[in-house]
Amino acid sequence: MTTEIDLGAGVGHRGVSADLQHEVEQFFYHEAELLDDGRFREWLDLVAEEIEYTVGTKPTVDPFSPDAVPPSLAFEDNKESLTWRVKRSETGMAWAEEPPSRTRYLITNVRITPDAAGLFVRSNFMFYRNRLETTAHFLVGSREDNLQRGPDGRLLIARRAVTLDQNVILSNNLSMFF
Amino acid sequence: MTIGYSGVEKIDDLIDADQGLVSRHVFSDPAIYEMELQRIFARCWQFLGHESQIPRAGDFVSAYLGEDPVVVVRQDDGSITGFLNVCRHRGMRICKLDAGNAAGFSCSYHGWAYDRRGKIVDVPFGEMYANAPLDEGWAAVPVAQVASYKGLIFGTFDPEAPSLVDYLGDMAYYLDVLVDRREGGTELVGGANKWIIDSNWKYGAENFVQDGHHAFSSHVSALMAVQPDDAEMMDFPEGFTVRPGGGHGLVAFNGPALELTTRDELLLKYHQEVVRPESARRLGAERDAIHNVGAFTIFPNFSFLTGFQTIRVWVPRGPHHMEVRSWTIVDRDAPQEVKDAQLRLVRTTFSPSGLLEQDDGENWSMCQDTLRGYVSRQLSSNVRMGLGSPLDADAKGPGRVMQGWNEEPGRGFFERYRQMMSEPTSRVWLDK
Repeated sequence: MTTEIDLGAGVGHRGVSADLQHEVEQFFYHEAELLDDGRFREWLDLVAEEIEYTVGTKPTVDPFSPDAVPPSLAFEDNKESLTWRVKRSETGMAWAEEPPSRTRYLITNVRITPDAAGLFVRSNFMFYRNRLETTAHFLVGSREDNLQRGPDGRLLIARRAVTLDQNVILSNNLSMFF
Repeated sequence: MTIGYSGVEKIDDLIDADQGLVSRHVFSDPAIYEMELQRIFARCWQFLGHESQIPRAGDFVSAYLGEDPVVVVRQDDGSITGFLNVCRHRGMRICKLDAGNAAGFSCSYHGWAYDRRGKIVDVPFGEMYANAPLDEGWAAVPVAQVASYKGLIFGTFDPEAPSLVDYLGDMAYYLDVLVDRREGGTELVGGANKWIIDSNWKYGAENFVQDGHHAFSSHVSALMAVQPDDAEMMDFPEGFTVRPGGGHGLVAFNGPALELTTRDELLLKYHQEVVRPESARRLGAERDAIHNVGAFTIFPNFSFLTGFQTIRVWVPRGPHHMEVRSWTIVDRDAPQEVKDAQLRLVRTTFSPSGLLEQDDGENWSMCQDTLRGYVSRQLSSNVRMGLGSPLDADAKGPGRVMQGWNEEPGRGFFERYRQMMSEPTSRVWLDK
């Protein structure tokens, strides 16, 4: 089935089939499940070798001079450093997540724009972490992904830029993936 | 009169620095926290920013002295001033932004307007103050002293505090390893990482003042992750500490340490082949080991790591919380790709997501959590490692240098803390 929804000029959803929308959403749900279940090695398989992965926050600046403060990034990773993070989690001594937290990723507002390199996909997320007894953190933000197809046709994350809707991060750490 | 919940009459009864015994009340008691705001944070020099953040006239950054919000502004003549970010009318903030450039600041409540120096320049319905003039005394409250040390801007609300250089004392000799290692000086790159840790600010300060040895328990997973799978079991380098006085302190590794947490050849090559030789020429070879990785605290709450090149403030946020504000500091003369690599290293290791930083937040917040218990609060924190061990008689630098992992600088930190908290008058500045 192909459904084309005309949202008007400049809106990037035109030409995205319901099948493609479904595939991308299912990809994200699968990814979220892997992260919720702590299957980080399998999650790494969804990440392209040349990935650029960033997570940042939003400083409070004058909207007319948004460059007054350089971007605040808490992650600036490539595949190697993401692999370090996963390897660390397997040592049994990564105390921030030892024993592991309870986590839940909700992925929503998935908007797809096909481009020359693959798919440019924007989505929103809510992330809840509940830890030990009463420790709880709630993070909300947006994701910009560039998805590409691997040799076997599977989707891979080639770039991910996450923006947390916080200035001062309200969490003891960011020991999770986004 | 007793202090807070502790039941003691004097702060002296809570801290025996010579014996390395610190009552856990000082990490949790609301009355003690209030005393800290007055006797430490309204008096001591604290980090406000870096000159590279505000190069042009009118550039400003928001910062904190204790819990007091301040604005730090580059003036038209190039000087730097700071003032309380509080309108003198009803106390609204006059600047809501983290940073920017402004001709002045105005309050959104009633429109009182201040210039870059903090002077009132306009008040709506000003004619109604004809008999109650808004003279100089109604300017935004100035930070009494603002001074820079090689690019780092500090301020204090105490006009009687000693000069910044005197306050740093012998610590300046060691601070130079961070800020004077290369000809061009330093600058900040990237933005600030800011996050809340559910623990008292002193957990951060006392960790960075002395604690190299926690790495082998707290951070071993990071070292295992970064090393190749087939790496031999790592030999952890030995360390040493310096207690230079004034409550300041540092710990450093005697052998390679940065190499355990990054495999960035470009950065490591720069560190070994450019930074260390130039630093040795500028500062002499005696301080070279500190480049391996050193952790420092300048009393009370400014800390940094050499090697990694991250600087941070532990902003007090009530007895049970702190806000960490951290930046990456690089050599101005470094090639852009080295600056980028340094920033990436800090983001990977010592940002809130950092392979090493993550675990400190977990450990410190759980130390704080146990303070909810009455019995737990009656205990002393054990700051006794290396107590009575000999000092390094061969050390070339100033201060008390002790080889091996130890908590001697922590005893210095808490001794200075005790002095500041015991003395309500400016006489405290006569003590060293």
